[in-house]
Amino acid sequence: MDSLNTNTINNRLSPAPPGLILASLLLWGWQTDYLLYAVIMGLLLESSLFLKWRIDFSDKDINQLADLSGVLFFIVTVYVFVNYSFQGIYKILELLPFVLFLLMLVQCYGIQYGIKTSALFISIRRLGASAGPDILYETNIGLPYVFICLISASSGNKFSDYFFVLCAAIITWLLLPQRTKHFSKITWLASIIFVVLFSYLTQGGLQQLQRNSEAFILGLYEQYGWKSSNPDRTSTSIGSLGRLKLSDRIVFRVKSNKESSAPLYFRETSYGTYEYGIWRNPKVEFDIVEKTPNKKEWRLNKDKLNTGNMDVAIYLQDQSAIIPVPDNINTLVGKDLIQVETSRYGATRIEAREGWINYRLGYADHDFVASLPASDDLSIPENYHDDFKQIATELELYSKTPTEIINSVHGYFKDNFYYSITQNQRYTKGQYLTRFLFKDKKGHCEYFATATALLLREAGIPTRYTIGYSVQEYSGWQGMYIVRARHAHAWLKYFMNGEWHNMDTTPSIWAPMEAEDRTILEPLMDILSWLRYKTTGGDIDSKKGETSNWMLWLLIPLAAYLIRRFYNKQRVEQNDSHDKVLPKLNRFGIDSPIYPLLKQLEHEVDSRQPGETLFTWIKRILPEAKAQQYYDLIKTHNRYRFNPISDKQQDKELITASIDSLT
Amino acid sequence: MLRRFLFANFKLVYRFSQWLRQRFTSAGTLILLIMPVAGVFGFDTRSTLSFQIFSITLILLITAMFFSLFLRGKFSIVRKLPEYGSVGVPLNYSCVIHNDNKTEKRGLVLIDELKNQFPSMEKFSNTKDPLDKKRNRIDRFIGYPRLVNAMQRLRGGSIKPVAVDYIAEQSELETTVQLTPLRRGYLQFDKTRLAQAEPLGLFQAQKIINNQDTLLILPKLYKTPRLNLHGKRTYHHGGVNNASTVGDSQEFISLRDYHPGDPMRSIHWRSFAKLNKPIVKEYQDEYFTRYGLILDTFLDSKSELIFEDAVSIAASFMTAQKEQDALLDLMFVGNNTYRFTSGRGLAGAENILEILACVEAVHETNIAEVELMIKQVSHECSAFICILLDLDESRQALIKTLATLDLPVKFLLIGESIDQHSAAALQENDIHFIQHDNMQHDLDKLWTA
Repeated sequence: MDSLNTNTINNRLSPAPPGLILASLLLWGWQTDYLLYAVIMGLLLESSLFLKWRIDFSDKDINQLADLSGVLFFIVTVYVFVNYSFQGIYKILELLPFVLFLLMLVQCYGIQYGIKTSALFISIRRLGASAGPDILYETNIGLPYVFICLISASSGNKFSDYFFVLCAAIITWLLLPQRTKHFSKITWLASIIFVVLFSYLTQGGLQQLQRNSEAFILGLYEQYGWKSSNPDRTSTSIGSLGRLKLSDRIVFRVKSNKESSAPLYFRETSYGTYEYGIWRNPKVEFDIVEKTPNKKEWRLNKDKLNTGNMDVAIYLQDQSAIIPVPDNINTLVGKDLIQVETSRYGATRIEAREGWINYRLGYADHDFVASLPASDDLSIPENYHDDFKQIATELELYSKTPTEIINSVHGYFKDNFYYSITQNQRYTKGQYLTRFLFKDKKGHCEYFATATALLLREAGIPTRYTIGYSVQEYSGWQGMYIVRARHAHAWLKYFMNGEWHNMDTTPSIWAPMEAEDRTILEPLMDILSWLRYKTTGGDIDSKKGETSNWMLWLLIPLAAYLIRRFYNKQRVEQNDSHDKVLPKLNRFGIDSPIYPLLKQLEHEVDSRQPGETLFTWIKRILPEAKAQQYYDLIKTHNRYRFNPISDKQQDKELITASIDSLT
Repeated sequence: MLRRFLFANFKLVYRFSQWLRQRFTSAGTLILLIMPVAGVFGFDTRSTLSFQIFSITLILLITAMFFSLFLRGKFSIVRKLPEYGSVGVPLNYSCVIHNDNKTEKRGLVLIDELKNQFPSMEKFSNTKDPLDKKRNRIDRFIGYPRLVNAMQRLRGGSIKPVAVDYIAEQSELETTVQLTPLRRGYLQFDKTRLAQAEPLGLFQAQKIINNQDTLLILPKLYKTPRLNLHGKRTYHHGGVNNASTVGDSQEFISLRDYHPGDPMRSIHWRSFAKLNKPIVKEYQDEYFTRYGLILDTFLDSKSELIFEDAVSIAASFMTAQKEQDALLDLMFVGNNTYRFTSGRGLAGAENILEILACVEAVHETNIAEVELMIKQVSHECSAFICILLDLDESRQALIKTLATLDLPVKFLLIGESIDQHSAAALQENDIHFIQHDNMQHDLDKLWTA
């Protein structure tokens, strides 16, 4: 039989060879900086090989220890998640050898061969002996523990090559006793060398694969996903056929200390020149905003004081991005921000880390002043000159004051156009706006903003096409405004009386209409997005230097579970103890009518001393003559109470009669 | 719909888990479990080095599986099975392995297999698993553990793998295999596998040899007291047919003229020749005791274990009476109404046990048919033993019918526990309760009580 080991004919794991557990613990300690603990734990476990004594743990003891390890694991999990968020998963991994150490100790120092499966799985435990021998066997957890140490060690993420070599050595050591002996040692060794070499190549390949696939997916994301606006140009969907596809994805969140009844406009940037469906600017230069002397905030407008502020959390794909800001932005504060820049077209660009970031945005009474109008802000594409001239003439814009022009243009779009996100007909290039103005009279915000901007230019008012978001959806359960990709909007700015003003001629029905397209999965996606936002560090509510402790709520179900278990346990024990206690003796005579009288005497005269008989007590507290009357009564009572063969009924009647005569 | 979908998937999962169990050694299984764990934690190769463990375990398994392609050779295996087995009693049989190769073979493992039979969806839905009570809600709802149990019952036994260390070339080796039968009836042997682990000891190469056989497993027997019901002997027209060895049937009385309907073999040929007309021999009428054993096969909501107990008790009675001078009728209703007679030289205990080994529970009520059968045969029987699985209204009606026959009847009720209402009914009808967990003890009390 020596060429076969139990490994091949049954499902019992063999124990770890001597020294292997220590080695794997040392590797773990070295990688995760728990070397001291690793040495102590390893020596404790390995020294059981040299000690002859063993402890007889009952199944119940082991079950309880397994439960304790489980609870310990849960507590560690919650604690780590509270402190490290989802990145904490690696921290948990790091701590696993500690969590399972108790069970290993029991295995090494107990008389058992291993840990029963019923100790590890409560469901099997419940089945009891009826689960059958195939399930209720003892597993030696030595080898699994070695692997757990290795995986834990891997979370240290240091000295990659050395780690690989040591890992391969430990696994080889582990496989040595499993070797099938009817094959030659050379075959075994050759296979091991082959495995090590190929797995080295594989792990390199895996790293490469990750790099390549990341690049590929990021490429796709950039192509189709949201990304920061380009300050130089923006393509509109003017002229596109079909229905606009608008995503429900949450782009950013705003928490304001002031309720707002009207939608807030958060602009990204403005553009000056329009041509064939594309708004563009000449090459935009950004100016770096200096931090205030106390290094706390970036002040965009040096002369103004904040009148209020709001907290914004935004997901950044890139380290540098143009962020949506309200027109009256004044200051920016945030630990995630590295640099803030502004452009003459009103774009605010920040540098920060990727992912969810948050910042506090202060606003003032007046709008942040972008640059004065230039010739671009009055330019109209050649192909549309006649169209706008015609409308301006119809509306008699040339003879009106700027304020009248604004009102009349507003009225014109309001009365004659309606909102639609579907375009069914194909038009020749350069004719889209003409069709919109004279034939279809329907379109989405880009049509309205572009047409209005160009019409005002025709009337001599400088305008800029502006893109950004309309902040309008308040989420009650999240306690903040959420801004989705479909809230992206286009409007325009016109220059009048030395200031830029917003103007939006898109019918206000646009937002509800676009919301009709939302998917039924939206609430679910919102929850997922919220979880991601809460756990990746962009949480507005988490204060600087504090970690959010919302995950501590997870402890509530644990506590409830434990209480339930303890409650159940106690109940069982109570039942047990109830069974074990002898049934209460139904002592005869305790219903003797003398007791109320004695109680009265105790109350009125003096109480009975411990060990004092009724006779001596009565003799002590009552005068001789009076006491004499009691003696017979006490005698009858004693007979009634203690003599098993007396006539109880008669005694009781006698007692009652004597008491009556006494009182 | 969901059930059907889950059930279809269970088959795949079951087959896969069987494959894993048969192919991977314990160390191989550990590596197989570690690999995905390492893979998950190593998914981001920048965060941990777990992907290195993943690659080592992956390559180990691939290498091991690759090696397993090289188990070549020709083997044949012959199983030598005993005639019967008994439920719960391990039995040994031998397998003769022929190594038809020109080389010796080392380190083989013989894995003998009983046929895997999947229950039909309907049967699976109707099956009650007593362990379900102890399972958590998810397991109960999904039902996979129930399927595993049902499969194990249908398979009917477990066979331990046997290590075959060495077989010389062109020779044979006889090895003993142990089978523990888990249910009565025919067990079907399916395949025999010869496994050999590859050098790393993680994966087993296997030679599969189709090797079908059947083995009858008899019900579990208990020690039962002799039947001692004070019924009168009744007339049985039998002659040698029913009493070839014992009894008073051979007692010749007289000769008489042939009446139409008399059997040919009672013709006294010599007198026929003398008188030239058929004369028949007349025998004394036969009187002996005939017990009817009624087995309740209608299993509604109760566990199959109770039915198994009932069959075991019936089998115990049928075998215990064999040396007695009485006939014993086993009566039950399956697809048809069945009545088998044993004793006094008729069907032996083996035949009756074989019948009982194959009795199946029915799920539609059949008590009315049992009543009908009893009415038909009651004039022949001296007494009845009635093994009941429940005490519902239809059974109580049966009890009443039996009571009106004016014959001694012994009622046995088999169950896991008894409620107060049933306890009163037991007392009223003189029914003996036999508890599932305490069978032998309750049976011992049966005639002493």
